[in-house]
Amino acid sequence: MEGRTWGCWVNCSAGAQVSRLQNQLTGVSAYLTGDFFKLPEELLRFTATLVWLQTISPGLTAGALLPLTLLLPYALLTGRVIGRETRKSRTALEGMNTFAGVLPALFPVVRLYDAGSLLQEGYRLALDRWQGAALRSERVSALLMTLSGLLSALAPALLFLVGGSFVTRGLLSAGTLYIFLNLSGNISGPMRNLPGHIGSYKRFTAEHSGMEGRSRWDREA
Amino acid sequence: MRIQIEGLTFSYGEKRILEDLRLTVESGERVGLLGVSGGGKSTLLKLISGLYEAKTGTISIENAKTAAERRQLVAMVMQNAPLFPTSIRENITCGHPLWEEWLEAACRAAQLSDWLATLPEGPDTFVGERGGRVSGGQAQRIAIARAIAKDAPVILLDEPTSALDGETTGALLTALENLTRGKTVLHVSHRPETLRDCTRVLRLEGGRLYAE
Repeated sequence: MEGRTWGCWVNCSAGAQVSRLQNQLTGVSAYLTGDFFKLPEELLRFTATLVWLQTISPGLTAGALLPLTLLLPYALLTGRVIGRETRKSRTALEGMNTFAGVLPALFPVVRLYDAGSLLQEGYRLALDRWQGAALRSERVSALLMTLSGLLSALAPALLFLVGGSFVTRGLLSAGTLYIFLNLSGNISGPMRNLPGHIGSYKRFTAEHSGMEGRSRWDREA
Repeated sequence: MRIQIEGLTFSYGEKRILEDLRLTVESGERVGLLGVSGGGKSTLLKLISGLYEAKTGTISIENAKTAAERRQLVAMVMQNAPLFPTSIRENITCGHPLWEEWLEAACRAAQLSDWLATLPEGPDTFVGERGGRVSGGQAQRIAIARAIAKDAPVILLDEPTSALDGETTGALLTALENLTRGKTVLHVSHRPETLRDCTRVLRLEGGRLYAE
């Protein structure tokens, strides 16, 4: 993948290079300004809440954490799938840009060999490929995020069920359960967002690796 | 087909490239054109082929006088053969319907057949974005096959071998020989040794043509 990107930097026109660099910069800065600083904040809130709840009721806290054993591997898998789809979509976009970029060099051939229809058809195919890849990437992301939302909803549900049984058996006061339910957002929120964070990180690394390929070429040139 | 140029003057903005140029190339004749880089040789080929429109003077290929009419009668092979990011086949046919036998004959004449036989997908092999999956010599021979497939009566060659090494040039020269056989040829170069097979060699200097 990187070799292919490097090859593109060697062969592409200045316009195509700038366009690609802009896309990559947008992808990288979206992660840095969006997810990058949200992650430590969520992690801090999650850990502080967890420690406090642990001191109040270790049993109930363990119950609230149970879905994490399912969510964590799911989030890792999701991240990988989203990263792969992002790369496919980016490759298709590059293909489309390349087609537009070759036009000036091909102008004499298009005119002399009356190849306008070939060019038009080729561009339409490249556009269709990109559209298909982009739609698939969005669809897969949406589906995976929906499932992760469902999984993360298990945390408050478990709290309600396990905590309720504790209250009826006199092991926990209703007030403590109320505190647990109120703070459960601090536990379930980061769990719900985890696949999204990993997915964003994968998108970030996919865009960043493209920029790295260009930097390496600059150094070697 | 006969090429006739009368009183052709052409400028890029303020810079005069061709000055009251006159030239006649008889049907089936091979004319070489020498000159320094930036001297207007490629511009002249673009004007003859109909890629550029002449504002002063006339250019005709037999009865074809307009740029659009001339484009139908001309095939050109340039220094760096640009390829469409599609298959070898489509780079040769340019999207037009072509008999398989005709395509094979064009590939054979362009010295592509042996190489195509080694490719699992043959002529349907993708040449890569910007032709990145084929060598310079192969790209040039694809361009020659494209010109052969067009079967135009006038062939314009714009330094077709200058970007290649000696080993690749052998097959390319054979391909060019097959392309130009029996056609009216105008071959532009800055190296006189590449114009040995021309019946006449002219020099373009200061926008005018001189016999070499």
